[in-house]
Amino acid sequence: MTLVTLQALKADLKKLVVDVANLTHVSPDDIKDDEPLFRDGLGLDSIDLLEIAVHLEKRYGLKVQNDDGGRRALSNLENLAQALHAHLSMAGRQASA
Amino acid sequence: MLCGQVFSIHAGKGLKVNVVIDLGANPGFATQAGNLANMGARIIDASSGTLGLLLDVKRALDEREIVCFLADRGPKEGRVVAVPFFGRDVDWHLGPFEIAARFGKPLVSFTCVKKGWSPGAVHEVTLEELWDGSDQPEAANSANSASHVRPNPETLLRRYVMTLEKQVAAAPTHWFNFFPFWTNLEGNGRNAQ
Repeated sequence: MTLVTLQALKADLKKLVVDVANLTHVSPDDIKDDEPLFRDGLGLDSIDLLEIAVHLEKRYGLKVQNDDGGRRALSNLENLAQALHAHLSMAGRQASA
Repeated sequence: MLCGQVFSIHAGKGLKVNVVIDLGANPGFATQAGNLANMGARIIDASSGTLGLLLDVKRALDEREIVCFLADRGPKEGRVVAVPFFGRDVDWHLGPFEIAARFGKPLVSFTCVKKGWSPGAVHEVTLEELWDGSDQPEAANSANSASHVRPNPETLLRRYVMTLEKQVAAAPTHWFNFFPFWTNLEGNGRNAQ
């Protein structure tokens, strides 16, 4: 399994956010890594974040739980990419073990 | 008690039932939640934040559990849609219907009416399927009528409102709502409530 870089994940996630939330006025490159995804930041609501969580599970196998880690992951792009990177790294290690 | 016996029957069959309640909205809800929990239902507290609530709902649906919402009341903010109820617009929360549509889960309305006023009167429960969870054929006049699409959440909401209207018309003294319900009543010379 080839490990995806953090930068590549961020680019992928930004596109996912724009597509899922149908942000017609925002380009993926406009999204800052530390910009809050919710409400006052990008303006996503909880259903949008749920859609993102569903996509993450389908595409990467990452299950976002209702705990501190899960809520932190959905707070901004940086945290989301870090959580996904850690998940993929662990999955890669388990696959090669 | 939200017809707690129904929950206990399902719990006895191994079917897990989750009930979404905003425990912060009313101190009395905690007692109801405790009763439901004693009958085997799992409480999802909506006051803990919408995102947390949705992640809990997702987990339950992933595990093929039942999730119950009080669809005839709820926050009048966020994703609300105005749909007439007995001729006057009401802002309904779209959340439960968006969740059902997103996850492709069957949607069932649940109403309960007490038959008579004597202490031993029975409750009549009505379950009506609003959507079986499968994609549906596109309209016959569509250019692509052979394909199937997932129904719009607003379509599901409208089906629910029609069902509720029918139930309330059949038993008007059994439905109550202490919250401001109809919108735009001012200035129309009558009070729909």
